[in-house]
Formats: sequence, structure tokens, C-alpha cells
Amino acid sequence: MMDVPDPSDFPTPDLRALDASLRCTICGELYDGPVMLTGCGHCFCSVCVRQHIQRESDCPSCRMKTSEVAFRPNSVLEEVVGAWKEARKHVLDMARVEQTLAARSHASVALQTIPESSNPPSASVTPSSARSLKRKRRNVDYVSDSESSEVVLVDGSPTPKKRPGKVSKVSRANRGSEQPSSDPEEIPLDPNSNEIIDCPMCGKRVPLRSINPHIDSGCKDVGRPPSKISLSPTKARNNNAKTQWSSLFGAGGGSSGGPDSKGKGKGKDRSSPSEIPTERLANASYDVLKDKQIKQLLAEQNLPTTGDRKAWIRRHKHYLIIHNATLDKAMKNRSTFAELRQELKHWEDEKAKKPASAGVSDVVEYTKANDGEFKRLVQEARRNTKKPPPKDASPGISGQSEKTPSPVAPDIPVKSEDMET
Amino acid sequence: MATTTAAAEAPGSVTKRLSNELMTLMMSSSPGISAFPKSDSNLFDWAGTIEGPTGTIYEGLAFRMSISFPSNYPYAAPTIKFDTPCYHPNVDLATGAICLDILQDKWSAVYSVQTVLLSLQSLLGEPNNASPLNTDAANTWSSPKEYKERLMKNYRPLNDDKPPAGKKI
Repeated sequence: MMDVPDPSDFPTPDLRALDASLRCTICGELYDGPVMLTGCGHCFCSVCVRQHIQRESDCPSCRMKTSEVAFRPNSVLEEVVGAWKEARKHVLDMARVEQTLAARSHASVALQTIPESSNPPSASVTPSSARSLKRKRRNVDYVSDSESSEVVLVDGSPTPKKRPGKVSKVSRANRGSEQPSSDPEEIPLDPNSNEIIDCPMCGKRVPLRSINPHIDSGCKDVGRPPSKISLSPTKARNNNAKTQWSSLFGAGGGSSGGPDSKGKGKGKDRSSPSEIPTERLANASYDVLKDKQIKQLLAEQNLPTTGDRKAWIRRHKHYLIIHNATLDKAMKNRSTFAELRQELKHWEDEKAKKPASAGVSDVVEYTKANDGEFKRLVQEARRNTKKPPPKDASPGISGQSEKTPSPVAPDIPVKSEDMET
Repeated sequence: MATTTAAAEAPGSVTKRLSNELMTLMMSSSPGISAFPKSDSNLFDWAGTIEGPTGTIYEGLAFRMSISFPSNYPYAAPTIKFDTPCYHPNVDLATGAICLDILQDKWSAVYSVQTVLLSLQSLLGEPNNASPLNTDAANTWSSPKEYKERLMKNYRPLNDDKPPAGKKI
């Protein structure tokens, strides 16, 4: 079975929802040249909804009447999806790393905080707080390296027992306004403090007072460069996350340098615009056209005229769809004529494969070839159905045992509870 | 990830969409429904199971379905029928054919195996007695005791001696 990227790749529901919301409900893929249907506002890949509109004249989601003239390219969504496509693998990596870290620190924090029951805030060990503790602890290690005045928070040699308490202070100070607390011991968030924190966006070390300008500038302005660079492994990981994030932002920003620039326009040579479609093609009324005229239509688009009249019409129809669909994309994302022809060929090849792979025609052959196997399975099944009572030793749940998959039919779908494990 | 290049070449390909649906079905927890391709080589023929919804006369029963997808899926509806005999107003007892609008003229490309199986599951408990395929079942619906009797007379548990797979293919 092939590897299918889908929302369930992500470990958390929020990221799953984000990934799902950027997918076309027809094909289930991330939007490819999204168009919005004026009237109802639903969005689909241009290719998907153009194929749909050949058969029906309504919105696939809400059935509101629509037609091709109601399609509008949704260029903002196209950009969002483009950026997400680039970001997805990084976010996926980071989410997974974070999960493993959280799982690990969950265990260690639980161990450390149990004796310190007098300090409830740090004793809460939900996965998220464990994760933030982990991050903050890293933070604490750095702060002890720098000359910032708030470093008094951390004593030089924190014992494992004391640590969680200290950490939670930094953590609260860091979250600031998000988490107002009435704890009298709390050190208030001072925007003028010299405290150095990890930027939540890029992971760079930034003085707290310049964090807002830093984020506003798209994480370019580092404020004051960190005075010391620690070579500890945690720092290395931090740097790694930084480059990952900055490559995300680079992808959206339009800079074409750097190692991740391949996402831009697929690296095509755009110097000859004549290779990219710019004009929409009109639908043809094939029924009133003679063979010669249909062949003419194909020739105009440099398409092959192999096969019969039906094949020509099918070919031309699909070419119109992909041709007009690529016009719904931003110039840099459009396919060239050559690519469109390639795509058309691929589509025809796949169509041609279908009837054979459906295997409807060779049912008799198949039955003959596998007759022995069926008989063997039936016998096995008969043997098995006689067995369960002594094995279960409780006739009351025999109805239950009937449901469990047995070798009778290895392709029986497993019940959903079993599949989740 | 070897398939990603092929996928990039053919957006909206049927096999991609079907593998996507399979993934969604496997990862989501839809109680009482499941579906799988009958074989690894052919994504166009699936076997599904529906468990009768709790609180209905079908509670505790499980039904095997066969689902086959046309080559222009999802623009055309899949063909779905009951393999396990199902005594129900909108199901043909002999052939397993189902009378449900979303499987015919009300099909939409945004529906999926999951949504259809869920619809069928709820159809079990809420039949449309106005347009019955099985008139006998429609007439008996109002007397649950008799209905249950006829339902169980026709029902065959999933792992019966004669698996439909052996008989059908």
C-alpha cells in the first residue's frame, strides 16, 4: 500500500484540523489551483470541480446551482497552500520531535515533582506543561550563560529537587499576559528586563524587551545578538529548529535563494512565456462536429489523434479541463503546454489501466485458479467453528467469538476498534 | 514517499483518492463501520462492514457489504450492496441492492466511503418506508416483534460456514 500524506500524519488535533482545512473535499489532496464558487463560496481544486461540472450543474458541497462562469481563482488560498506544502514536512518533523520530548520529560518531571507536593503549579504534569517545562529548562541553562540581570532566578547548581520550582517562574514570566496569576511570589513580566528568551516563532535568542519588534520584523531583527554561543546539544537542536523555521518563512517570502528554493515555480525556465497557456479554451459541441473537425481541434493543441472518435472527444474534453484549470493558478505555478500534454497522457494511461485492474472479466478464471484455496479455507473454517466452545469454555460469549476474524476470509475488515491500535 | 511524484503528475487521480479514503477510515474512529480493499492489487473493490446502531432493532447484528468504485469515482457514486442478507424496507433481500438517494441521483463528489457507510448505518434504524424495495419489510416495520423474527430468519452471521468471498468470486 502506498504512503499517503494525510491529516492523520500529525500527532495533535490542532495540526490535523489545519491540514484537513487546506484539502479539497473532492480529491482529499492539498488544494491544487483552488477556485471558489461565487454564490456559495465553496472551494475546490480547479481540476476537480471542472470534472464535476461536466456531469452536474451544482456545487458538490451544498448543491447550489453553479457553472463554469462562476469559478473564481482563489489566489490567496493558493498561496497559503503553497506555503503550507513547504512548511508541512518541517512542522511534521517538529511536532514529532516535540511529542517524543514531551513523552520523555513527562516521565522525568513526574519523578522530580512528586516529593515537592507543596508547589502545585509545577506539579501539574499534563503533556503540554511538561513540554513547556522542558523548553524552559533549556532556557534556564542558557540564561545562566549570559550576563542578564534576571539570571538571579537560577542558582548556579540547581538540584533536581529545586529545579521545577525555578523553572515554573521563568515559564510564567515568559508567557506573560497569557497567564495572569495571583501568585504573590511571581516575578512580574517586565518589558524592560534584560531577560533573554527563545523567540516562539524562530527559536532565536532574543532579549525580552525586543521580542515584539523582532516578531513584527518577520524574525529578522535579532535585537542584540546572544553574547555567548553554547555548544551544548540542546543549543544545536535549537539552531536546527531555527533554520527549519526560517526556511518556512523564506518559502513564503519570495526569496529564491537558499537550499529550499526549489518550491518556487518548480525551477522552470520562465523566460519564454509562449510555453505557458494564457488563453482559455472554449467548450466544443462535439455532437455537431465532423470527425475531421474534431481532429482539427486536437491538432490545434498539438494533441495526438490516435484512437477513435470517442477517444478524441474524451481526450479533448480532458485537455480543456486541465488547460483551463492551470489558468486558475498563479503564473509561477502554471503548467507548460508540454507538461499539460504529459499530464493528459498520464490520465489516459491510468484510464486505460482501470478496466483490467477491476478484474471483472476474469471472475471465472479466478475462481478456477483459486478453487483449491477456497476449499482449503472452507475446511479450515469448519474445523475452527467446531473448536471455539472448548477454547472459550463459556457458551455465553459465543456470539462474540463469531465476530472475531478467523482464517475463513483473511480479507474480512477488522472492526474499527482493532484498527486503531 | 516514492509515490509522491506520480501523485504530483496526476492530481485528482482515483487511486490517490481511494488510498486517501482508506487512510481516513483507518485513522478515524467511526464506531460500527469499517471498510477495506478486498485485495492489495485492486483498490476498486472493497468489502465493508456495518454494525446495527444501538437502540435499533438491528443492534448486535453486523452486515458485510461489497463496494465497487467506478473509474470516474468520485464523480460517480460507488456501487454498494449488502452481502449479508438484510431484511429491511430499502434493501432487496435477494440481491442486496440498496435504495438510497445519495447512492443514485443525490450522489456528490464530496461524499466518501465513510459518509456513505454512516448513512447506511442510520438507514438501518430509520428506513424510508415511503419507497420500499422490500414491501413486506415495510409493512411489518410497525410490529417490531414480528419484524425481528423475520430479520433473524434471514440474517446470517459474518463468519458463517459459507463465506461470501468463496461463493461470489
